[in-house]
Amino acid sequence: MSVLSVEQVTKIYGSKVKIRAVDHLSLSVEKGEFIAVMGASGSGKSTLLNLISGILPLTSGEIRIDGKDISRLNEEEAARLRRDKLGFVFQDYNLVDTLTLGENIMLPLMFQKKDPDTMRREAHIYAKKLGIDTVFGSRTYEVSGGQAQRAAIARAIIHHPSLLLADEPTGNLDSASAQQVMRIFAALNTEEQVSSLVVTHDPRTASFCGRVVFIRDGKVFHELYREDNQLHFYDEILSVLKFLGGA
Amino acid sequence: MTFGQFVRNSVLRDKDNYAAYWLSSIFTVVVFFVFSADRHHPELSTDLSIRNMMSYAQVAILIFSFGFLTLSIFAFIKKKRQTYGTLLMMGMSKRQVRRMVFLENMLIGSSAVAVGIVIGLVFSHLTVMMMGRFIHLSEIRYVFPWQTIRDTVIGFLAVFALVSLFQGRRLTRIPVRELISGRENEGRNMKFHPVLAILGLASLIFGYLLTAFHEIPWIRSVFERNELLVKNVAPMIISCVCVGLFLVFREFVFLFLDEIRHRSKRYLQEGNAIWVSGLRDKLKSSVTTMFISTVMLTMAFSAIITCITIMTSVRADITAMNPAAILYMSFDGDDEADVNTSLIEQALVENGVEYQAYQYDILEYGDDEMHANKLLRASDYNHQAGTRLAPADGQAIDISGRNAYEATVTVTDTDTLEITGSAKPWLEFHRRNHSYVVSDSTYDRFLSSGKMKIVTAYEYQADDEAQAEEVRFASRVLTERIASGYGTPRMFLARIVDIDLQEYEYGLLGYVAFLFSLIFIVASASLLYFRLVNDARENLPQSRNLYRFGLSVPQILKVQKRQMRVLFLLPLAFAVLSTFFAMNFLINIEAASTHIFVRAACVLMPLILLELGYFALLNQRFEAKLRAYLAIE
Repeated sequence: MSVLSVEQVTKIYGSKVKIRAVDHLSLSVEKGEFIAVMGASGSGKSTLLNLISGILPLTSGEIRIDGKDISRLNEEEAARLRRDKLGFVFQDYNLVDTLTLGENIMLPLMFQKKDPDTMRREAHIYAKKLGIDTVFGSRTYEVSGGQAQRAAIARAIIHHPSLLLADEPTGNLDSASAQQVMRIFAALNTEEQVSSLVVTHDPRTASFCGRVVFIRDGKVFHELYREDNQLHFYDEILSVLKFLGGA
Repeated sequence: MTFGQFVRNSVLRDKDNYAAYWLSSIFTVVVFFVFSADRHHPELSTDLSIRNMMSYAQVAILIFSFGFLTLSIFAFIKKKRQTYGTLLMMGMSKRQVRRMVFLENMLIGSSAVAVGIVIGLVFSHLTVMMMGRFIHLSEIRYVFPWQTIRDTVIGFLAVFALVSLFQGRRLTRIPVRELISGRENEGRNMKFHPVLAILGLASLIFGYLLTAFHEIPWIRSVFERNELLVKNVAPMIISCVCVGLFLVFREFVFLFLDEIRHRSKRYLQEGNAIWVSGLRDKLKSSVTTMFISTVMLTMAFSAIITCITIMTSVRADITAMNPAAILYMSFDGDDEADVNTSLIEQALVENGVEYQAYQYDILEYGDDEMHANKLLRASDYNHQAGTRLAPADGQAIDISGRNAYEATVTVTDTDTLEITGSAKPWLEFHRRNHSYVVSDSTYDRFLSSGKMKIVTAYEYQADDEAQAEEVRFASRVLTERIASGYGTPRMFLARIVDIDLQEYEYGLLGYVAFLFSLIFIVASASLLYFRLVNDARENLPQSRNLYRFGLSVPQILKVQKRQMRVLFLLPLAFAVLSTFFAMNFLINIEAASTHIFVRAACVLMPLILLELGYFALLNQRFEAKLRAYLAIE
């Protein structure tokens, strides 16, 4: 069973002037897969991410996460699905600035009403794994962008979600920090079999993934699978983007 | 970390944001507590005026608090919308978010109520004692204000709970994707309309000009033709100024800034472009805050100045209306004049009041005392008023207190006198209309004609300020013993009774208005504080970029401080300007004298200095924060 299954999904915005942001799009993510979704601005990639996370209603089609049709869920069930099955990483980290980095990491466990000792222990484990244990007690404004994004990743995976969704996770980082963050994604994918879907416009970021899905006008335009080394994959991505006009 | 700890941390670690709001809430609670303590005190509550006034004030505070909390909590939620969006995205249910908003605000609210009550307990008995002295209670006992505590807790927690529930519900109605996108684009996408901008400025200027409608010929000529306009001039001024101010903040300042942008050569020099364009963005997102702050500051300044002016001029105004400390007027048929005047003299002597008595007659023609013509002998007038008026025979001097007078007056049906001038009024206020000073011989001629009634006035001049207690006691005794007023052929007036009554009424009103004004000033400062702190925080990344471009820290501070200065001082400047015109209006409708400007300056200066000190403190904090932030770079 796929972790994520997107079947013939369409999303139309507006009532008078209709904009077809996603048009009969199908996509699936298997357990342990690491996928990038690429496309030019307005191609529908962010809409797709919002549809998958259940914060945007579908016009037609079906999205299943771990076999559960998210369009049939009520508000409470959708929240529970996001809480238990999904992890999110945002471009601008979206850390809660009144909490420390460690407390931010604990948040998903707090929503699951885990006991405080477990929360603290788990948070420390992930902080150490992502190399931010030294800034565990720091506030968000006291750390660098790379550290903040690593905390955001730890927060996204601490509750062992079925699918990790990342929206331009390297968009606000310098190239060294961006590389570091993507290496973490790749390591999590290989070591912990975390299924991930990363929306990005950066070919370097996408080259860390195993598959890249290119979207144009709300439809899957092309797919690339990584077979050999990263550099070659990067060149392949670039050539598709040149064709798409997005690079 | 439990949910409760999460909520507590999100408030306690965001002290910068909540500080002013919390302090402002405490202050409002304290004022409410003080009013409630006055209202519930067993001795004070026997005074119906105090009880009613304090009840109205309490209700008004709760209504104000509802508005203030709605505005503040809305601003906090707006600022934290991305956080709430992230939490919802991560799986927090809408119910939990609503609970979070509720608990956050109840935490702030309940702590503000608790601290407010403690401060209130310290100060309320002082105000109760002050109020006791005010209504001349010789002794007032201490009563622990249980009822006041109950009212304060119930009243404020209900307001906090209602607003939090309402705002939490409002928040969760916003789609998650909108919340997560973070900052609203209101500031960036709002466009100004040049016509509305000009209309706004015109409305504001017109509103200000209306305050001097007597002095501006073209406005006066329009008003003279339409009495309805004169009657409604105050609402017209308020409407024009409010609409004008809003449009000036919402439209005109942007027209002005755009003009600078396009026309001024200096715009592209010395980094002006950076601070002016940044200011434009900040102004756009601060329109409501600036408008409300300006209105609240204007109301507060005007109320304080007006109350102080009225309170300090009560004695002078009443003395002008009634020149004698004690006045006894005997009309036709008063057989007890001798007995009563003896009583007055006896009471004054017994109470040790030093006085000078003077008796004179007034001739009246007409049944209605307001419209009857009254003649006063020149020698009597001169003796009392300390003047040397010498009207010729057949002439009269108007002492009605009007600015304009007729050329002649027909005293009786057949006798006409020529009016040659005017002098300060002397008779008691209600008898002042159509009163004239004539020569003694003219007076005697009218007296002997028998056409006019004789009213005898017995004036007792005493210093009822220096000997206030003595005169007050004598007056109380006499008021009880002399039957006067409607249905009797006499009138007894003790000036100190009027002064006491007016000082009491205006004092009570002034006390409430003063505390209300302070609430307004504190609330306005709190709204501006939140706006500035928020702006300063949002500006940090931009400051970092400027730093990376090569601007030094002092240069960045200069840019940011200039923006802060405009954002903070613009409402203050408009408030001072609007207050000036409000005072001008009071002078024009003769509700205040030109002395009000001196008093206004005396009252405004400390308030402005307080605001400026507060601003300096904000500036200092911001500078420290910016330096610390850039030091991480």
